[in-house]
Amino acid sequence: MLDTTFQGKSPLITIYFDDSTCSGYLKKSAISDELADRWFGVYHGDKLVLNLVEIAYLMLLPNSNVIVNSSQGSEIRRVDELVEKYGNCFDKYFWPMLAVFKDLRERGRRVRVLGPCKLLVKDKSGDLRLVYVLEEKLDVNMRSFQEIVNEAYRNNFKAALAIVSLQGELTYYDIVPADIRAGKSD
Amino acid sequence: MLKHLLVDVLDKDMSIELAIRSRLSEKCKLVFESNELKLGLFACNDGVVYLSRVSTVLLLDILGPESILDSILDILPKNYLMIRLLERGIPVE
Repeated sequence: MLDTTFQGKSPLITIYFDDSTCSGYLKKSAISDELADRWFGVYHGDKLVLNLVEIAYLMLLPNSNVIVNSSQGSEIRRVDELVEKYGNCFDKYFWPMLAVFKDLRERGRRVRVLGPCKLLVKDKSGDLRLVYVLEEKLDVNMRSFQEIVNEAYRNNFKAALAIVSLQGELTYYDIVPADIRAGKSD
Repeated sequence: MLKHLLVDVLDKDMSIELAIRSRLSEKCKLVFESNELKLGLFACNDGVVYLSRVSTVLLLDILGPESILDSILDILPKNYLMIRLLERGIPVE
């Protein structure tokens, strides 16, 4: 399912980009309220602050009508222009994060970027899940997985891993604590 | 009761394998061992434990009361994670 509100005759979305934080904001409006309702950005006063993944996703939507105003006053309409102008903002986590963010959004999930490689996802069932984005071939030890699960469970979320393969295929894995003594009397 | 226990001994220092062998030596009597075949047979009070190793995996066949299994489980790490396929995404173009 696509993010239908922004298809067809899309409303103009003007984002003011701050290269010092690599994020952008919209001034409060009906559009920003709708975006916030759809789990885009976080309001700080009358500004809806969007992170780079959200900005790129909105720019990549079909029939997107997003203008990113740079701090120097120029207008950017395409992601490749954004990369060209603010290359330092695009770290190694950006593309895998965008791939997973886009995939989940296109399949009707609500997704919020919490940090590098970390997304909060609302399932269709309403469950909240912390999704950790990992690239294939990345060396991750079991202790890191344990910390991932602990963090999710501390916050009463489920945990999942989103693995982005070198071919761009996405696979999601449930990750849960297991007890090999389950069913035993102690 | 016959229980099979497979332990993937990925710890580089063999601490898990050594702990299992040590526990079996405490509780049972080693009646046969082959280093070449990497297997051992332990006779316990009311049971028998067959231990073998293939690559990084330890195979334990435990025949006897549940206490033998429990005593082995006691020394295994307690934190486990189960990772299972949830869904596949749409490939990135």
